[in-house]
Amino acid sequence: MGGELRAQDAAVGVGGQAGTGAMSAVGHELAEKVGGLLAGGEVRMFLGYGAGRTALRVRPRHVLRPEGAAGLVWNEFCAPSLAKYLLDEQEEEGRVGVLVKTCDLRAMKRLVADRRVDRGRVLLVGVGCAGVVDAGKVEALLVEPVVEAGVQDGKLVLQTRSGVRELPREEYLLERCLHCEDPNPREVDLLVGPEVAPWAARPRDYAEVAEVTAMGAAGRAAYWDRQFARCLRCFACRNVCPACSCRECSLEVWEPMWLPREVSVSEQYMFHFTRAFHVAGRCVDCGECERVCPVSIPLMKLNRALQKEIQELFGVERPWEPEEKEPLAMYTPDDPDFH
Amino acid sequence: MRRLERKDMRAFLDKLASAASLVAPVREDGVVVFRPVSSGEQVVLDYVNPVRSAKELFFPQTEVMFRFLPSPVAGITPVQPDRQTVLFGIRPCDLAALSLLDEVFLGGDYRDACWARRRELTTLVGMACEQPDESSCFCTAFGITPGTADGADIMLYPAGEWLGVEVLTPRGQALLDRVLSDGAVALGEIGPPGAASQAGAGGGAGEAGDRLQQEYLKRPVRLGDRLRVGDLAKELDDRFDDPYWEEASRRCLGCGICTYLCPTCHCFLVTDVPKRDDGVRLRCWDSCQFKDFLLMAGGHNPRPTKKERTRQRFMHKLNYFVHRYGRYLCTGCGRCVQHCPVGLDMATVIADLRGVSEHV
Amino acid sequence: MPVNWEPRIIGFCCNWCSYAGADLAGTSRLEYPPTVRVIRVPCSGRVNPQFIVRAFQKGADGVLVAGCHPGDCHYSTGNYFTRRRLQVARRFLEYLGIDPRRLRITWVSASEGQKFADTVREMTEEIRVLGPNRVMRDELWAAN
Repeated sequence: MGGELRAQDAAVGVGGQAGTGAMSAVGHELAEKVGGLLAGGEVRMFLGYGAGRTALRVRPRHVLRPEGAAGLVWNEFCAPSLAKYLLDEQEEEGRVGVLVKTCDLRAMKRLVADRRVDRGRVLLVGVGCAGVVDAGKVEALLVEPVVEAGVQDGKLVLQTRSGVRELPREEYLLERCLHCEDPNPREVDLLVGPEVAPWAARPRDYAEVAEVTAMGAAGRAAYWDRQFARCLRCFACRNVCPACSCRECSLEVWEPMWLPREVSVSEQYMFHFTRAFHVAGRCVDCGECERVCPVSIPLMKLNRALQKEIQELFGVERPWEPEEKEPLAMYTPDDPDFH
Repeated sequence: MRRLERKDMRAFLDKLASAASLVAPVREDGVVVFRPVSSGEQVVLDYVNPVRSAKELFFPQTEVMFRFLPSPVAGITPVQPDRQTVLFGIRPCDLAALSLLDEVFLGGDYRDACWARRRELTTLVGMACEQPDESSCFCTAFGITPGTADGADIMLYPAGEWLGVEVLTPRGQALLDRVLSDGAVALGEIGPPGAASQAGAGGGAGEAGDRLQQEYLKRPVRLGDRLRVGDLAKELDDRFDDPYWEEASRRCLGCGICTYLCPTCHCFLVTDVPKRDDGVRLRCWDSCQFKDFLLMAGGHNPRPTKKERTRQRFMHKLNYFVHRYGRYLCTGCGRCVQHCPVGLDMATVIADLRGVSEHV
Repeated sequence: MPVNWEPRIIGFCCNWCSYAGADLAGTSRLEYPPTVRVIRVPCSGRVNPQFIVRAFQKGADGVLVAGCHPGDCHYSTGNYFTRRRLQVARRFLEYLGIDPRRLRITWVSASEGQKFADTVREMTEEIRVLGPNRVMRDELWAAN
């Protein structure tokens, strides 16, 4: 991980200087530090990542004992946000440690701002992140499982049983990473790994929203009819969302029943409207909802449309930052009027 | 077994579509799903398995069971499907899942009219798996193979430039007769060109067909071969209180991806929905992974935490169902393996419980 | 367009201004089309955007939300929140395929019977041209 390589990668756009070697070195440092935190009683649990079935997959890992820390990994596939698990840990006393990337830190701050998580009971371990690969996108290309994966010279190098395949890394990153403005989380309690060089983040130009808008009213209705018709109503998008943290979800209340179990197109609109609008102005733009959707509904096209509207109407420049005062929970007397 | 040229596939599908309402895999916004189609060109053939399983053709996510009228003219009108349907491209795992659900809906004293009706109306054209997904497919764990045709009316076996066509039931034969009736599509004989017409080579075609079938039945499915369940059900009798359930369930998100994608999950909720002048009784999917699934009117919840709910899902499939029906309630279709966002899926749990590696 | 079809509008009117305004329209014997079904709400701020979606689901061709003029809210600030929230909701519904002319948010004071009547008339004419709403509509309810 030399300076030359770093410069070279910066030139192609999104970072990626952390090759497999560097990533696993961070993994060792992480395991060591977490082991210490647990042994010293500073945290009673640590939330990190463990290896998944193939080299492309990781799993959230709850570490309870110092010796369990050895199973922690850090690599370019550590996509899942772990902050939401903290909601399960509210009852018990003691601090919980959690590994956060910059995007996860926003999720974390959302939960703190919504007073669902007590910042004082969380120990944030930050890690610089050069971008996370969308495992689903890669898997769609391959029949064989990936045995080993890493990044070299901005390329994603995948080792399968029958050979090595190289892919242009940037094309396989999660969309959120392309917009990442600072790969190094700030305001954390502890950092692991080296500082990651920032790359030229793409501005949010809402091209995906414009695409839908351009379809015209009838076209848009047909578009969303088709997307929503695939919806399983599995609620993964809600459950994974750091802005969806109500103790009692209105979609589960029986009286009044806002959302019956029927899955007619009409009720799907009710569901998706409710979900998106409920997080409007609070969405941290992490894209986890869209990432976990098993039927690939472009949920971020809903969230982004709301972001864009809030920006345009009320001049909120960065509605995805949890530090912003919630734009829909405030007003000014000279807000634009209806016409 | 006969031979269908791959170049005739589209015409074959067109004929199926004109013979009945055809449901087949299509690619929609990059996702493969079963959808009603009107012509062969909409159908995709390069798919592993549609993301939503075939069960919803027989057990829809929302099903109107009957309509009712309020008093004084109170009455009930059953709502019954009446369209002859052909389901094209169902994989062996989903076929096996239908037979498992037959046990539930038709096996006992009670015959579920809705399920039975849809089963009777649907002809199943199965498709053997040319290329199972190595990191998620694990049908062989449960004794199913890429070529298992049980339950299909017609089974297709891809073989490069052509597909082997095996008719398994009279219903399948009737459908095929209709498809072939006007001569627009014809089936050939399997074997070297002209083999069928050569005197004394009569057995050649049969043997070649058998070979093709055998090859599919023996095709390895790496993850499944590693996870063969064997006596797992028995072992689990004593593992209700295993600390594993709590440990594993910690990472559960509590969503319903696994249960709703699963071709064998069949929990439902029945509700009456009064509309303006009448009403309907609906049967809708429900999921044991939702925290209000067992919530009772008095506020008691017999499965209050993720631990109980996770345990329920896996014990039901790997133990309770086996005690009741003698079969595992999983066919290794791999949908949960592919889509669980946190890797708490059937393959992982089997590997963990059996202490074997799932890494392929 | 179905024969004998008339637009159906659900009107959410705040108790303090707009409901009184609608009342005034009636007591003043102003004529306006009988297309609006008024639902009285304590404040326009009570109108959860879900109400609007629900109205479209259950067969409304248009939704009218009417409240006190900004600055005149009985609860001081309720309608300011409404203005923010429903600006976004209206654009979002448009994004989902609802024609924005089907959702009108306006301010009607207790003395503006004429404005209420005019609003309903204008909206009715606009929706008459648009025809019945089909977006988001519950098929079981959409029989007519």
